[in-house]
Amino acid sequence: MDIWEYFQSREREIGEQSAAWDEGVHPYAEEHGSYGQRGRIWGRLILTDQAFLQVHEVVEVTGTGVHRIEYAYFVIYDGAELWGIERDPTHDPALHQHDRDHNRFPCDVISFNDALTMAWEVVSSEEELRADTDT
Amino acid sequence: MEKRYYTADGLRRSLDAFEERFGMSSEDFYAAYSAYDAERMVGISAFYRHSWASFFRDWRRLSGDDFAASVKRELELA
Repeated sequence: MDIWEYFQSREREIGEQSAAWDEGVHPYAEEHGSYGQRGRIWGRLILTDQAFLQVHEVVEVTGTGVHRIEYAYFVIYDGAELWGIERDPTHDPALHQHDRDHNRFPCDVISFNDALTMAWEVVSSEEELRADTDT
Repeated sequence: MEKRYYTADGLRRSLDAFEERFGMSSEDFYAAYSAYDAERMVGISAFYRHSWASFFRDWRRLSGDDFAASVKRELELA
């Protein structure tokens, strides 16, 4: 597998979860000279009129497949950060998540698909909370 | 899917965009990021912090700046 096959599989997951990149944005890129072995995803997935998921991945092909050596997924709702999860090898712990107050907690690895599912759940909870507040 | 590529020059232009948006050099930002100095990164969202730092590391690697810094350090120690 090279990173373009990985990017294609990512596109399928996004379509299956009813999300879409910002129009006109090209989120996938290969590192020039890596011969399909390293690349990045960077952009935001539109979830609703108020919410989107920011996505960043650095991916590398190794002997056992494609690995996300860095990633960040953050849910933004009405301009505010509600939830985020990161793998940053320069931070301790490298795997951590953030709540809406930007408090940091250690966490386990999360797949992109699960992060997108989580993003929908966070957005859904926020919309229910706001609907309750409005009534 | 149309294939697109990035290079050290392309990452440099990305860093320029971050610098223009947030009004600080990538070197200053990365020093603050590495030191967990939140006060020096006020107004920069967590996602942009993560991305900026990652782009900066890769730009240094691809531009050979890491190696140049190592040579400079070695000369200082000699």
